[in-house]
Amino acid sequence: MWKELFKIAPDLIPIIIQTVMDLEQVVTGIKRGEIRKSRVMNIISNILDTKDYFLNRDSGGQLEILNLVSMFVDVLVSTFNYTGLFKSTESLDFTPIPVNKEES
Amino acid sequence: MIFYKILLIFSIGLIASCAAMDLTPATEVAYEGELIGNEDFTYPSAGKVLEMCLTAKTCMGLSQTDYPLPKIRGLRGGNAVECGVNEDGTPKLKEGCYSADGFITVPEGGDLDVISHECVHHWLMQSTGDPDPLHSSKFFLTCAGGLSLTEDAE
Repeated sequence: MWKELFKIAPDLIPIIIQTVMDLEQVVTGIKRGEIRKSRVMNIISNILDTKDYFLNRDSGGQLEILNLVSMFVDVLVSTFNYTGLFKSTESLDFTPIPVNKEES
Repeated sequence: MIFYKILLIFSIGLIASCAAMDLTPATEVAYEGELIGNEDFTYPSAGKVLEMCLTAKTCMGLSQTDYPLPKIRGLRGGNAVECGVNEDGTPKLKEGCYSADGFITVPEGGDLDVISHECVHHWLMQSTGDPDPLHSSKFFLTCAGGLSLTEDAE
């Protein structure tokens, strides 16, 4: 399994990174993203189907690859966060603002 | 080609994150109270702070649980806050800290992302009774940054 995964990694890794970035639009405009993992996994699964990676696999084999992809998505997001790549540029402002209370 | 571009962005981000920053303690209380504002006063970042804290909660799978929000203390006069003391007795300066009484303490002008990190401490405290000061929980990586993972269905 690992041998096969390494074989397709050069194709697979850019697809996963690109999917996460495109889907959440974290590149253009560098804004915060909430990664809906199920959406990422569905898209990647469809891409792999299209690319025929799953043609000669039983469902167990597909599941094994998708589990590894799932782990990679976790690692990818962790790396983004650890490096602060998509850090918010906003800063904390505690200037007091009086609350307008309606007169009764 | 795109792979190498991404690799380059990663490298720049990694170098930037390793850059050292001088920390000076903030001591003057600018705001203290509920995360969303007190009865008489609120603050400009309240909405964003609330959003980030709730996003962290959802990311940790706790969105359906009725835990209270943390409270917040914003300090002025520096870019760090004192969070306990080092072994040599000097104050431990950090960009934010969470205390077991439910308060998040952060410096005014600090990065908003610190809130996500401190909220993960808070939600861990609420859900497990341990705020995990050693950061062993995976949620500090997957839920406390610019991106957060969620398993929610559309």
